[in-house]
Amino acid sequence: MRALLISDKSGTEPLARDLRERLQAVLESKGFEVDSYELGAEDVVPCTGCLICHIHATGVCPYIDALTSINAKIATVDLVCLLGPIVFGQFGSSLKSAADKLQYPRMRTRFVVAIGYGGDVRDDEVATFIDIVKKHGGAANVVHPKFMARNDVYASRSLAENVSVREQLGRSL
Amino acid sequence: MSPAISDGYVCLLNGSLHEKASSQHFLKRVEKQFASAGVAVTRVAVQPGAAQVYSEATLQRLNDASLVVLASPIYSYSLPGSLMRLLEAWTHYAGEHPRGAPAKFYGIVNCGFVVPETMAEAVRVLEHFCARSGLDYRFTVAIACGLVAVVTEPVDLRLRRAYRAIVEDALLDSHEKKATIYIKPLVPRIVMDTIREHFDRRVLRDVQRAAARAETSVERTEGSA
Repeated sequence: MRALLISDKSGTEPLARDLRERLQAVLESKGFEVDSYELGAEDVVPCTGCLICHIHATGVCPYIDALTSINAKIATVDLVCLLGPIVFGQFGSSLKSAADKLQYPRMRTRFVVAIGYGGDVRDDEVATFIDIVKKHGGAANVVHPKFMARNDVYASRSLAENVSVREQLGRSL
Repeated sequence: MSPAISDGYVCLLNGSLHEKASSQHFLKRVEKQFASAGVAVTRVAVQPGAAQVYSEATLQRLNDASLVVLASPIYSYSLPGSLMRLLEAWTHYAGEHPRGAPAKFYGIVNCGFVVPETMAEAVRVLEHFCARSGLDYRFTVAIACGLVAVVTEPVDLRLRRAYRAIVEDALLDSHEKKATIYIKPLVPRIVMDTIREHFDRRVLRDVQRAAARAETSVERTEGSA
């Protein structure tokens, strides 16, 4: 089994580092061969909404960046993990720019795990983050069918919560 | 006119990188209404490219405005990464340069979905952003099927009323919180769903074929190795 771990390069604080290490460990303990990508602001050209990827039905963005190789790998993995800070209730800019360009039609057949973190994130921001991710997992199927069959979401605000996320993820994988 | 507006200016923030974006159209309409009320308007837009760097002058223009109207598309039920980059930079700047009175903030968001309530979470993101940045969040206009709304605008009274609601609220010295204005497309849902379903199915089929080809080539590579 193969997994793709896409994380935010800016996550250098102990909370983010610890979570990343735990995630990597739980994936390896479950027998996943992990391909990791750490993305920073300079690695992703934000989506311009040109729709060339849709018009040509290839799903491929004409702008060459880190997502070019990531999208090519999605076809070959069983699990996609997104790990990044929660900013205003959604992923921060680097990871969101990447998520905007992930090939969603191809992602629909993959198991996706989204994990957000932040030491000073409020309850209402966590709730918004969870709701946004859940929409990709079928909660929005009333308006956009055929979304991913399985999509898990976790949020952590402390090292203690990192342990709990690891345990929950270990049970769910 | 609100004393805050008469002393300051309105900043229109375009959150779309698309040259002919619906967001840009909505902002132009709001700008027209402010201009006819004699209010000074300035514009700021998100920058394309990976190296999005916002000058201090740009962030100051945003931070010093008495009122900000943000128009943006919604990608994957939330704000686009490019706009998030600017909002993060602005929040950081606002933390270092606290303003006197909180600026009023209005949002205009649009998406490709038929149901405008699909954008409810994105509206919440805007509220969180305002809370973090010390802005006075007023309300958001959430427009479903942005492009269709632009085309049908001449006969869509609700859209024109929504533009007017922003300008009227801005000009009054009102602080009463208002609810999100959701605008459905005028085109019947069954027509929109049929188009979407056709488009969706075609994209899904082609991408699945491409994925199958990629998997075959990976198997061949692994086999030969």
